[in-house]
Amino acid sequence: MTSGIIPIDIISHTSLTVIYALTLIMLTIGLNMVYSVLKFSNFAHAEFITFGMFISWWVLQILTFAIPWDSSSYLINNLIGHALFAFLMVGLLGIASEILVFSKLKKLSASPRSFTVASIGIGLILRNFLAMIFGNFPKPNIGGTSISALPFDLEIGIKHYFTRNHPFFGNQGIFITSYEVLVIIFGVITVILVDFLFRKTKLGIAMRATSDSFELAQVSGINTRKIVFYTWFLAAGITGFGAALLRANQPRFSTLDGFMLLLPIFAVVILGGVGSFRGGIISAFIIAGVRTVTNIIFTQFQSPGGLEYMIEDFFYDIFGIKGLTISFSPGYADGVGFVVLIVVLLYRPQGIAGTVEAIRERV
Amino acid sequence: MARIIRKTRINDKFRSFIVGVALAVPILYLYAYAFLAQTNKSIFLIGTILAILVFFVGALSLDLEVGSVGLPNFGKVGFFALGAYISTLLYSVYRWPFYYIPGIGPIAQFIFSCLVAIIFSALVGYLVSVPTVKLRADYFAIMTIAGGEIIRLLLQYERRWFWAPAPVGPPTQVISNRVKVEFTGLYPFNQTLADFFGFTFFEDHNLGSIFIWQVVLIVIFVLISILVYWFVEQIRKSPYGRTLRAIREDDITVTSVGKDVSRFRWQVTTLAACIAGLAGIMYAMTFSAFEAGDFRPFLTFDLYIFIIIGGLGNSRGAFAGTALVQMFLRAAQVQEVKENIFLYLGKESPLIGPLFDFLQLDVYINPDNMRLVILGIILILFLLFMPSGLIPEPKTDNEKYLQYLTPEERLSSDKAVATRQSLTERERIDEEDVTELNSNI
Repeated sequence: MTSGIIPIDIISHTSLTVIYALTLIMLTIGLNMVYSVLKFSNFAHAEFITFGMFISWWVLQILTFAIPWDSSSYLINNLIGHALFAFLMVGLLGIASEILVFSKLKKLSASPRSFTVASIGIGLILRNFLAMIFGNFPKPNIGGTSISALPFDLEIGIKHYFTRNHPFFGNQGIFITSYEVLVIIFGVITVILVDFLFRKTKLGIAMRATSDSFELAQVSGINTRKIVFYTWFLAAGITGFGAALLRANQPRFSTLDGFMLLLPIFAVVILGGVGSFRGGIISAFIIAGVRTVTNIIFTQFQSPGGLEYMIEDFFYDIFGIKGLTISFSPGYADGVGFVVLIVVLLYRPQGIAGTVEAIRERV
Repeated sequence: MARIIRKTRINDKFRSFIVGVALAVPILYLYAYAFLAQTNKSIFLIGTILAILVFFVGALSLDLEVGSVGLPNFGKVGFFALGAYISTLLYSVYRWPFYYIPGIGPIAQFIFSCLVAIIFSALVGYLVSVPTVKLRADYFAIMTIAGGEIIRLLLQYERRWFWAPAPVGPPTQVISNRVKVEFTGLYPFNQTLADFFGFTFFEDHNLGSIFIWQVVLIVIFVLISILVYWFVEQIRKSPYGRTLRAIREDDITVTSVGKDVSRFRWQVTTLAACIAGLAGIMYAMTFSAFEAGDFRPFLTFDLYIFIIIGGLGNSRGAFAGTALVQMFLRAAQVQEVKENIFLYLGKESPLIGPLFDFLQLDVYINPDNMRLVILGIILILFLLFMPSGLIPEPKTDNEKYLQYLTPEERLSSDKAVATRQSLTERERIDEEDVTELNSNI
């Protein structure tokens, strides 16, 4: 190969970035709400995602079993219905965790570290319960993906070729499954709705007041106890909704899937700034974009004639030893996001749009 | 149960004794059951002891940070990985610079690789801590998790340098530690106790045979653990350790008396990284083959569970927690336990079959997952009802130091303490008001 450049599907990569970013947004809204209102990092959020994935898959199984005469009907395969069920169940799970653990810890006036460790414990319990109930191995995602969940059929996807056999751009096109269309539509709808909730409704304003100051909110007549419950329900519920959509788009899923997403979602929340909904949207696009770009660039570096081999040749000319180079694996894609997070936090500790003070007070 | 104990306000020592017995008896029973079911009992026992010692050193390192200074480091596993990888790769793969010297070559190489691993862990710990210690606690937690994951990703994907070259084909991700293989093949170490000393206790009682290298390894590990324990205890007892505790409780006061809080924090983080690197070397020796996937954040979470159950800020508590939880986890993993303690709820169950058939569920209640569920429940119960753990942190006796003061100094110090106490008291009262208001609504 002369040029050593693999043609890049720029438009496809862009659409994948948008889809990943919207998934991240739907999964992080809840974490951000809990973080800003209750002031601790909830590691059990990863297991809320897993729970949402499994519960939406399970309701599909039950429906298929209970309505056996029409297994391809819209009633059964309605992904929106599964996602709403997941919204309800995961929201109830969030309330249960508040009642059973976090409210009691709050009465003990425990430190945020205790809250975090308790959320680790909740995650451990949930993950292993799910593994016991649904099996330890990755589940093949049958019956839900093969049949369209939309009333209209988008299964073939949209595929247009803009250029052909260009040495750099290659064959350009978009390939989107119907599920990814759903993720985009619902991601945008969720963002608009949550923004509306936070800015215009009484509940959202009360939530923001509570997150600013518990005492002042109480003084102005807000029932903070109720607000905390609403926060848990909405936060966990939106997470479950996003998780159901995420599940439908994967070939298989397991009980560890949520845990693998733990760091990316925390990176999004912290990079965007705790308590800032719009900052979270920006940072989700940043993290997704950095991931895709790293993936593309590192694949290029690894191809024959890429940077990896250029470094090797350079040192071979000097020292006469082969193999003096480093690997640029596309697997670093997640890690580069964390590097961006750390570098940003060093210069702007409150995140992109955050108002929370990240440095210890006066120390 | 625990609430009743809490309400009756019996002596704290007695309460932790009761809870300790209530935890230890079932765990010991399960362990004895698993132990008796084994065919080679000595291997099982030695494996447990080695694992307990490895994680004890790791838990001490974490406890020094979390318990003493209050820095919630969630990236401890990165230093584990660094210690394990560097010591193993230098000894088993690169074999530079001492290995091929005749005579003392391998031993010198082993000591060199361990030293490099510890020094490198400390260096990385320093580099990570300097920018992060000034962040708030939860930001610090996320940053350290991200740091640990970056280390793991580097070890996982850098196939030229961190993967083990296989005799045939591409390099493999699984690193095997040659130290154990090479040293256990030497003459006195490859003999059983029965052959070498004529000590046939284990064979007589049908416990399997114990090799000399196993005894030597345990002795070395015990010595290392005792050394680290002694070192950490010395730090806790010294004025330095009192400053650390003061920082944990109230860093503003410590700043106001002219101490550089950030400096204390990065010093302790570096020291803890050193100890974690040592624990990583022990991990590599014990488990002898590992890969980057073993060093996910789960390991750090496990260490947290050990120290929370044992008691924060307390080395003996770290040992108690590690020993209990490790014995529990290891006993539940044994094949015989898995086969005998098992519950199937599903379509073929006798009475409830139709219900589970309707719900499309096949529930296998197996010890492999149930042990972690139980562990999580125990962790949360400890956080709710016994936040100080099985062995609470000993209180510092201030009177001992105050008697050295002159009366005037004593008076001014009392005044300062009273002022500070009234401040905290006022804060506490304020909080109580808020909670009462909460409960009324």
